[in-house]
Amino acid sequence: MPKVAIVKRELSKIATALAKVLVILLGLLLAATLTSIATGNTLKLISITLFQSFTNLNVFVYISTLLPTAVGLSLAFSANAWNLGAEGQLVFGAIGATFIALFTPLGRQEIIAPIAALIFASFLGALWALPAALLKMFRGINEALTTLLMNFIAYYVANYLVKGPWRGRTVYGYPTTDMIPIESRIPTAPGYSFSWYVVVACIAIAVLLYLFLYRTRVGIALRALGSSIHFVELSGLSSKKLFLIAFLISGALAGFAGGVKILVYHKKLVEGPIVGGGYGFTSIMVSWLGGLNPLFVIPASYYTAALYILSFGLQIGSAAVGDALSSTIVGFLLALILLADFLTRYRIVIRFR
Amino acid sequence: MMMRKPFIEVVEIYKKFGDVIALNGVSLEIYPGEILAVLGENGSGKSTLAKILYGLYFPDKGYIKVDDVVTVFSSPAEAKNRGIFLVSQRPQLVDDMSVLENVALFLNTSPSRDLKKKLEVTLRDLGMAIDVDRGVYTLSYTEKQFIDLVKALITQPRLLIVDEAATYLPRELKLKFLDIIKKFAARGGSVMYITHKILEAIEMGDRFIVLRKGDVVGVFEKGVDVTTIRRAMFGSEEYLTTFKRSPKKITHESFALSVENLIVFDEHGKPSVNDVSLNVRSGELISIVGIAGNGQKELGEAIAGLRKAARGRIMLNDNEITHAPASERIKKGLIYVPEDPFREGVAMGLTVAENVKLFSQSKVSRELLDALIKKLDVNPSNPFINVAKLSGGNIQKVSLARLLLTTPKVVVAYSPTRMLDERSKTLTLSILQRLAESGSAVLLLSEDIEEVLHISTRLGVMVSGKIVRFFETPDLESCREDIEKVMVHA
Amino acid sequence: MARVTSYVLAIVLLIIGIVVGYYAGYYTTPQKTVTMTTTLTGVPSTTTVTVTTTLQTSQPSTQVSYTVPEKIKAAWIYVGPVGDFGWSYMHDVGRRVVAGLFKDWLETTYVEQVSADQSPAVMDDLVRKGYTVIFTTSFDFMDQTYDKAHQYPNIMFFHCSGYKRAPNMGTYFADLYQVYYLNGLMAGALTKTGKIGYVAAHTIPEVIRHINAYAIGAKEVGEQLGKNITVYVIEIGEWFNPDKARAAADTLVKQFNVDVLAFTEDSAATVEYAENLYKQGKEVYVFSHYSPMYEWGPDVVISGQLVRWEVIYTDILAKVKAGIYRPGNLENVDYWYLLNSGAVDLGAYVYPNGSIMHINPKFIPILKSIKVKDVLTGEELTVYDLVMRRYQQMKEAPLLQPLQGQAITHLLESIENISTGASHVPTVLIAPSFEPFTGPLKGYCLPGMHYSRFCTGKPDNAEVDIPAGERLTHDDLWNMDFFVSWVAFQGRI
Repeated sequence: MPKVAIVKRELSKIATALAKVLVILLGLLLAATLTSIATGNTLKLISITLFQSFTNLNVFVYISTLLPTAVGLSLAFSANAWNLGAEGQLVFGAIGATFIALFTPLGRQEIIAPIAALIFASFLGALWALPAALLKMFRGINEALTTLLMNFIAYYVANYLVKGPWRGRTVYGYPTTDMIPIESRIPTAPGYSFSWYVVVACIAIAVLLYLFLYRTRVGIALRALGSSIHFVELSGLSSKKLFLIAFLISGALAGFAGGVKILVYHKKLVEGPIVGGGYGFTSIMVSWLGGLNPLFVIPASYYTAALYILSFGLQIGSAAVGDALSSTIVGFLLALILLADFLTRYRIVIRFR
Repeated sequence: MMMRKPFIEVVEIYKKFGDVIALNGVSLEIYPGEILAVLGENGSGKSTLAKILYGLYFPDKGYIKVDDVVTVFSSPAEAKNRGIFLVSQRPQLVDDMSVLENVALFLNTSPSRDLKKKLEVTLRDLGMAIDVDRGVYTLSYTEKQFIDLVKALITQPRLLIVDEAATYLPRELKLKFLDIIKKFAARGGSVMYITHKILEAIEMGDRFIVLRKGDVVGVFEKGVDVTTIRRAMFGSEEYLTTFKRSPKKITHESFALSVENLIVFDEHGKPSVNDVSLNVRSGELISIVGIAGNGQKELGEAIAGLRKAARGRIMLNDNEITHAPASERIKKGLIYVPEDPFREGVAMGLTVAENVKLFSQSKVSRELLDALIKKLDVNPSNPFINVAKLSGGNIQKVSLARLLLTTPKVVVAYSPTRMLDERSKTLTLSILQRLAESGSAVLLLSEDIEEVLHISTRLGVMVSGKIVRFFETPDLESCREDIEKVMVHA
Repeated sequence: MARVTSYVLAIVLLIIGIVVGYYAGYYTTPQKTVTMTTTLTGVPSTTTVTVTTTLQTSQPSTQVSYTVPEKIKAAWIYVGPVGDFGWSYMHDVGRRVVAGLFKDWLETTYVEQVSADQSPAVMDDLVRKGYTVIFTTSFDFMDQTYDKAHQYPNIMFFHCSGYKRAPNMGTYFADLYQVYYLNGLMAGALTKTGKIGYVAAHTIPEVIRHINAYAIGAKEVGEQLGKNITVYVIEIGEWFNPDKARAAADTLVKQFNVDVLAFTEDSAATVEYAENLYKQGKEVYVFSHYSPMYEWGPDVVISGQLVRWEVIYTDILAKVKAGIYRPGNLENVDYWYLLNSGAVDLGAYVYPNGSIMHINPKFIPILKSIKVKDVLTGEELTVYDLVMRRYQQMKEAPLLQPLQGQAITHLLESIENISTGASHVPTVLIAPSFEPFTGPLKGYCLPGMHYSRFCTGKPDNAEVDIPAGERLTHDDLWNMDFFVSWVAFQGRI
């Protein structure tokens, strides 16, 4: 009887990266083959749809929300700060951006308006993360639970605003605010639905955060917090302050993403679940896909974004596989990442006696 | 020699981690009823060997024969099925579960009434009164280590791999622990006893194998002497064994560290440090010895700020720090070398370089980093690998780097040498001594009077949370018997 | 102190990152730079003044050149899954009808489960794949569709339920209020307690219209039967939330003693709830909403509202093919189709042969046994006959439909008739001879909503008084922000 053993292995970083890409490519091919068998479409057509999803510049639509949020979360998670409230912080960022754009004179100042709105969005995102951090620091209340619950409170705050005091004058009673002024919107790339400015800012944030986490003492200490609080304390760094920093930065970045959603995509505040759209939750997954390393979160968010595009692309035209099957394919492609990760860490040995 | 068949044979095992060769073609065999002592410096490959036999690692080359049949272990479960069990230097127990549940989990059965009875009988036979329904988190380290051993013994294993498991235990309990293992061998079981302590190995072993940097450098039969083994372990390199206490010049009259009427409670709300007062001047090296579990650990942690002081005062250079967080105390010039390098000494997720970077307030240059690694003899010497890949002793060495980056006002160390081989132990003690000489106030908390006797200016004995007596003579060695007496009977 | 500094530094870096990123992006996008060189006379000829103007090119204003393509590729974007058996499902039924009808020249596709912020990217993708007619079927897509219409001037967009239009973006909607009125007539006849309930998704003009029409119908019959009609409304705040709908229905029944329910929510939860009650021995009747939900509650569904988007889709696509609708002339295309158009209907079930069951046969005998007067004529008739008469009155308005397709002709919709003076045809009817929203009506303004001519500039809960004989116009209906006085709003859960 052959024996199958799963054995740990260590590949160099380059080999790991190459192996992962290879596994993903093979998996995509497999997915395309299975889809074409299941739907009766030609392999060529499905492959083209797959390819187009990964080369469609509109991936940046999703990247500009997922990347900043996931980068912030990867920082928080590597510091053992279980911030599961990115969704709520994102909604609060959206509220902040709307406030600046719609209800302050800043909203009508070109260039200043979006910057001010984004800064205030980040501030409100951080502010919404603060209570959970403080409760953890001073009362020892599990932050995962509080942040998770705060998501729903944030939804309700946004709902209250759009159905109550902020309801627009020209929206026929629909639960939205009025549109934000043109000056505070961020222009999108011609022919696409994202903004280059935001994309560049998001990548800059990821790189800066990488440098912060891996090159500065505070950043390294944040990562050490994930291994041992006592160690960090014994190195003369306050674990509480670091915890707070991790929380605030992740909150601020989720808030930033929320601001982006308003200034680029919605251009008005809508109900909480629509603003959040589950991106705060998806970002949790993205940050883990990226191994909690801000630089690797960039390809992880790209991959996830491409899957979003794919899930719609597969439905269109002659491919037309429908939402159910396209969701299945997307699920398979996400599982593929785990498989690639597994195969680069372990090898399977089969021995025959 | 009797014509017996070995229970297990290891043939030309080769294992590499990244660029580091952990085992370079190691072969050995263990016979039934035999205790094979495996000796070696920190990082010589002892633990890797144990993990391969236990199915945790897979060898790159070579193979294992059990009962003369080539066998592949792809997981500990398979090793366990063949009667091979590992008791390691850190008890492998789930804190949130009860003792019974842990044992059941380990044996992959349910915590049935039968198992409970069997476990209770085994514990009683070994003379231990532990309620098996207790949560593991309520157990002391020693109790955990015993449970770890018992959970292996309960199945009547054929090979017991003991990887530095007794190293942490207090002396009296250690003897008991070793006795259990000896009895197990006497009943025909095989034991692989891994240690870096030569005397301990000689006491336990029937045969001896010495590893150095992944090579087998010596195989000895019973009756071998300490020097032969030591030479095999360390090669021809010179190392320092004796200390000369330099005449003390106490420069300050005031105390750098003073503890007044300190009371600290343990997890169960009992006072583990009970009304302790002590003062350390700059330039002094004071040791507090005692059998483990008598409060030295809690004392150290309370001074460092990892544990709450219930009553009393702690002063650092005339500043009260009783309620300051640990980080504040470190910033004020205290350095604490923790007992457990894995949990407190280093951050396992980081590289060696990043760990060292955190010890220092100022920038650590590459040159300084290399110098530190060389001085502490961290092996492998690449600072950019993850500390988790180092052996226990080498991790402790990284943790000790904190002593070499600044000239601290006060140093508190709790059993800093426990995981270290003799050379590193000597180095560590000399570092502490030099710090005292250059004006630091050093408080060394230990369970091993051997190591502190030569370097202390003053020595206190701690029993049941109290310092029962201070010894202060130029020649502490002459008081050794008195000290031991006080430690055991008080 | 050093630590604090580094924290501050980290945050400052972050902000700088944002700013730098923003500007970096700003300068990396293509910009049109026009350099004008002007030489000024009268000054030394060596001086040259250069004026540089930077124009941002975010919304190109390209001239549209359009010829009707041989094959028309049309795409639908749905907010929910087509399997929701509600809103998106019925739109997809409409799509399937036109796809079959125009199969010679029409190619259709759809994308389901699209959220508002995902919709722009989906539209980009559709445009890239050659779709030239795009239907966006959720109010949430309005602004995104509007933006994309500016971005792609050659593509025709049709947005359902919104009010923003562009030269290449039209709007369409099928309104149910008349059907709700008919439902109300039956509710007023069948209620025993006089208390009837309404589970509302949102209190927006569309739903307010439904509620008021329902209440007007209920009162018209109920009052004659000596019942004191009150309509209790609970808002659930979501278009699709079966749990909340069920909870709201339960509150209405248990707390307010309601025995007939109607609702605006995209699931059959309320119907199922009533059917369950029936099985437990309590009779609470219900009207199916939007899609045929009779099968979920054959014992309790009296009737309901049905929508048939295919009526609108057929009209639009036929006109696109004929070259009548083209990018550039859609600014005024605004379908507001009522009962007369066939885009909505009374009923809760569609038989396999395609005909509609207007009223559950179980209830027909009861409705035929209750006698009331037609308030317009004073004639005595059964409730069943009254419902059918009103149905016919509102359905027969042949001149109305052309007016309902254009924003600029909506004004004319409430004109009841035109006198011609011709000897045999002195008067020609335009609007239906019956309109539920005809005075006298008394109501009150809803807090926080002041759009209509009745409530603008008035305090919350101000009284609304519509004089006898006055018919509300299209704009009045679109801006409806008041409840009639016998509607009791119980807030939101």
